[in-house]
Amino acid sequence: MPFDADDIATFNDPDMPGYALATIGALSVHGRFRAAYAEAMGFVGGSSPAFSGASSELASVNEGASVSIGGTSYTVSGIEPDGIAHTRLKLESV
Amino acid sequence: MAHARQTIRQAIATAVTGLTTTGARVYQSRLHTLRDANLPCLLVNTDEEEIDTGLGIKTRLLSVKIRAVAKAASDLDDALDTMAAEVETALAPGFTAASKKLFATLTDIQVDMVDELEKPAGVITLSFTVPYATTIAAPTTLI
Repeated sequence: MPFDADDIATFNDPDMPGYALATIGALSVHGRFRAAYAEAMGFVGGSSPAFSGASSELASVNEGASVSIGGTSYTVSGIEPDGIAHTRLKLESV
Repeated sequence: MAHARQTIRQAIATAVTGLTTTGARVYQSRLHTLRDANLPCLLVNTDEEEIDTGLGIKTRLLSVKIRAVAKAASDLDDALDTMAAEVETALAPGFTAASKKLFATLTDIQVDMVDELEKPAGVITLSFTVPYATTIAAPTTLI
């Protein structure tokens, strides 16, 4: 049974852990933001910021788009739909 | 007593300390993860060594790797190439280890860049060989 709009809204509710409101151009998208610790090449530490929201709301977002979350600016470096209802935007710090 | 390998590694690290891009961020045989405060940087490692044993003398060919590491929101490739140029230039006239003039011959360059972090990260690895010699009895003394 596919997710309906209410189901998707539940995932992106302000009460959910990691909730964030992302501004992407003219869009304001409710979703979840994480910037967990990550390593690259086995010896370079950092974080892997990503924003997940409803695919329907992120359909027009392209790689390179500017994103603002909590006053911090990012650029979309990857777009990863889960094939069900959500899309994860990989973000890079500006 | 330091093995001549250590003396050479330290001398090379000294020779590449203070370069324009990496400054004092030069680490020898570092195992810990690099944080933003450590970047951009140079990692100096002494690796394998070929050894020929003759009459009382060991002639050696030491592999030295210098990895230049950076994160950059743009033009990461340019940053890596710049660091490589700075390292090559610094080592071109040779370096002094225990009062001996030695030379590092560049044999290979490898580049790796990834976008797994908040900014693209990359490393350019310069592989050098350093010929030197010790007596059989005293691997700590360059001859």
